[in-house]
Amino acid sequence: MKEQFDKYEAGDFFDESFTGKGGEIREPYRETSDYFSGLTDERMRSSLRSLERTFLKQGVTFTVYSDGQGTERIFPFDPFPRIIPAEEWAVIDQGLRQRIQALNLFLKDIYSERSILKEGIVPEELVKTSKHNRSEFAGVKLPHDTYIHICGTDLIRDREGRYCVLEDNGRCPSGVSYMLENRLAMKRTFPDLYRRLNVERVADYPLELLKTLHAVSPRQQDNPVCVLLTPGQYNSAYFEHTFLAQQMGIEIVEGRDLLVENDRVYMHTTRGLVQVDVIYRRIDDDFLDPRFFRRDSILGVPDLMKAYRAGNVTLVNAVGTGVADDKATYAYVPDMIRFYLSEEPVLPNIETFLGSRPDDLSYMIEKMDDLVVKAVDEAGGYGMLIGPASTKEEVAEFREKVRANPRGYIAQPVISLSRHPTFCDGKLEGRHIDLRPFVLTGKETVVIPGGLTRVALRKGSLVVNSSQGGGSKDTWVLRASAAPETD
Amino acid sequence: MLSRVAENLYWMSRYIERADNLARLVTAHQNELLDATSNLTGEHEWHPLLEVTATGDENSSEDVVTYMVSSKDNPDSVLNCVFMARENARAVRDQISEEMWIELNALWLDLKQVSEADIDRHGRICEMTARSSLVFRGIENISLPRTDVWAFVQLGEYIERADKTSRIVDLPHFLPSHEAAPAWNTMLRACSASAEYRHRFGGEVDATSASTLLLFSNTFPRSVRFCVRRIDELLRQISDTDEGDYLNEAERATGALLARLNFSGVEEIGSLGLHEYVDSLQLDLNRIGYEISQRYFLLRRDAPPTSAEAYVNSRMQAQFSMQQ
Repeated sequence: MKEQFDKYEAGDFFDESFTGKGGEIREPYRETSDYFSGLTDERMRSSLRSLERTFLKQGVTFTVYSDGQGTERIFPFDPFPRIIPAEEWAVIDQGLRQRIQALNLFLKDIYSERSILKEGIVPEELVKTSKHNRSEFAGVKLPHDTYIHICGTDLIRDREGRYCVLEDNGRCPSGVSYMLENRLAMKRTFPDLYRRLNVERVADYPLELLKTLHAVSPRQQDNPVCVLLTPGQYNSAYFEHTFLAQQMGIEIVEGRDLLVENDRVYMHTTRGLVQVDVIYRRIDDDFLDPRFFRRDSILGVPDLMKAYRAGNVTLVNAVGTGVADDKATYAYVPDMIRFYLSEEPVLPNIETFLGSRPDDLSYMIEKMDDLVVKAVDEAGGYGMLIGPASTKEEVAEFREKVRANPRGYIAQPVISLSRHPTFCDGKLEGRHIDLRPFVLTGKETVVIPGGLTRVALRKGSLVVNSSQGGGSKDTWVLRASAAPETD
Repeated sequence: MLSRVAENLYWMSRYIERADNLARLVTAHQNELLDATSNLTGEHEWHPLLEVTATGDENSSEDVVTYMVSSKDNPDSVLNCVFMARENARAVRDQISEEMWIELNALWLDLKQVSEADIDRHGRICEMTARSSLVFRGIENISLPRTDVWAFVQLGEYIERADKTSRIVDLPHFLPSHEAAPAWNTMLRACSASAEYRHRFGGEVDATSASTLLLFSNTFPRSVRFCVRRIDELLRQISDTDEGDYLNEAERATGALLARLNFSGVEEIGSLGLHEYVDSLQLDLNRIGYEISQRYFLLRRDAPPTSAEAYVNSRMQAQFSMQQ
């Protein structure tokens, strides 16, 4: 593969492994790039084939049910690992801890004292109008005051290589199973390379997650009953649901497996009813309880919210965390950090213009050609406009949408995400990436050293979502000490 | 264990067993047809298989082998059974061993690869299925702990096997009498019982010995009696009940059927006739399946099905509509 490395162009972007245009290899990448450039093309091709077969046979797939019997696709995977040196990771780790602490304090605050609203730091109107605001659950006491137990913050690097927060996924972040499977696949396929670097373990995630679930059980007994609530096997993330349940050794349940009696939740088993303490739910608030939220939901459990309100069951994540996920709320997270923690944010936000602020709104309308505009409550790369990449008509259409509902939109400058060498049809080319690390909070916070690096496989594309042609890479956080890994 | 999980395990196992039995039956019948003395033509050739498997759709334009092996419209074709086994397995991936899942998943992916242009397409599908089902049972045997997971997987396996063996014994009934003799060979071969038959009876195959072996043998693992005895043990293992006692209707129905098979089989055939006797066995087996679902699978939210038949039908429709 040497020729591919010689031909590689870092381009006019921040490149993770090369400095500047046609520049030098960055130190943390030296070993890895030497290794890959030493492989023959044939060896590389056969490694790629064996990776693909492994994912397919293990059923590490998502399913498209359009032809009756379901077409399974593997989530495209690129074997060139993303490498993060220890000193960079230390900053990310600190920044993520700070941020999750502030977000949990914010959620507790807006559902009880509301001091940040009274002080005028965050506008009351913004919280009140957030689609995911659940003020009807204000005052419900949660174990350790934790609302967001599992957070999958999206980080990007800008042109200067600074890590910035793109969004906080505080509802049901997914992707962690891919982080774990990617690691297994890399260790199996390139053990010699993996051994040479000194990489932090990610394999403890399921154990840490289980500890988190145990820590927030309302009944503090030795072995609280925890379950994972899935929409069912036809959900596209079903693989991840079974994977996590199996790794944790807990039951995976559907809504119909549960029932509520006397404000307690039970599951149907072959030996009768068993009380459930903690529900790691992988369905949205709206579908949890047909008596409370959407009546047409068949995924949920009638009266689940009564049991929740009575404090007899913990939902992970809690109900109403979506307010913090609102893309307009995002803009206030640095202020939250200053307000609750009296600290400066370690990880900066992207500069954000809010449709709800009159000055920002007129700027958005005027400069929409140059901006990225996003609907505040959409995810997965939907409901957004990338100004410079859009036609005049598309921009005009979006302008009308924003005028009609200013609260519903935000805008950000176009950030040219960092690029990373990626194997594309036998060639090595730069592709844009982001990073989703995973943060767990029960009583204490655990940041898993690693994460899912998502890569926009289409040339030039800035959209990394799997639904829009994205793939993933393994993420190797290097250990600070030189001691080799012993597992 | 979750009731729904138990149900998925049970049906995963029933479907792979169903696929396996059908695959072996088609292969054995094909083999016998090649030697047939008179020319059974067209529908008469394969018609008996539709009868014994209780499948068939008069409106289907597909030929019978396609219909039984690779049809997408026939919910009980070999291919669809493998698909359903895999879908049920997928729902309980966290409960079964990784190797069991990989085997079923690989079988499904491999069957989809068999080209429609392949001249021996159906032969290959049947062979791959029968072989993979043996591997699956082997993996099951050495990788599953002997808990309720094991018990429900085995329950599905033995109920389906008892049902299929009893149907296969009925094969000669649907043939003209001069063609019945070769069907006895088909019967034995479809149940992998030819060697056991020769070992025990030697020489020419006769109807009484063959059906006695397949219905009443206490040692042959595909005989109906052997299977029902196993169902009896499994149900009592699940509920922790002593031999001869019963705690629920499923156990009672199984105990009663086992007593019939143990003590009055041959006499009943004498008075009822083989075909009618086999029919009554199938009704008893349906009843057991129904009672198992009542006791272990039914969720409080579901309206209870009104009869054994309604249960089987609703289950089949629910599963079939899921894949459409």
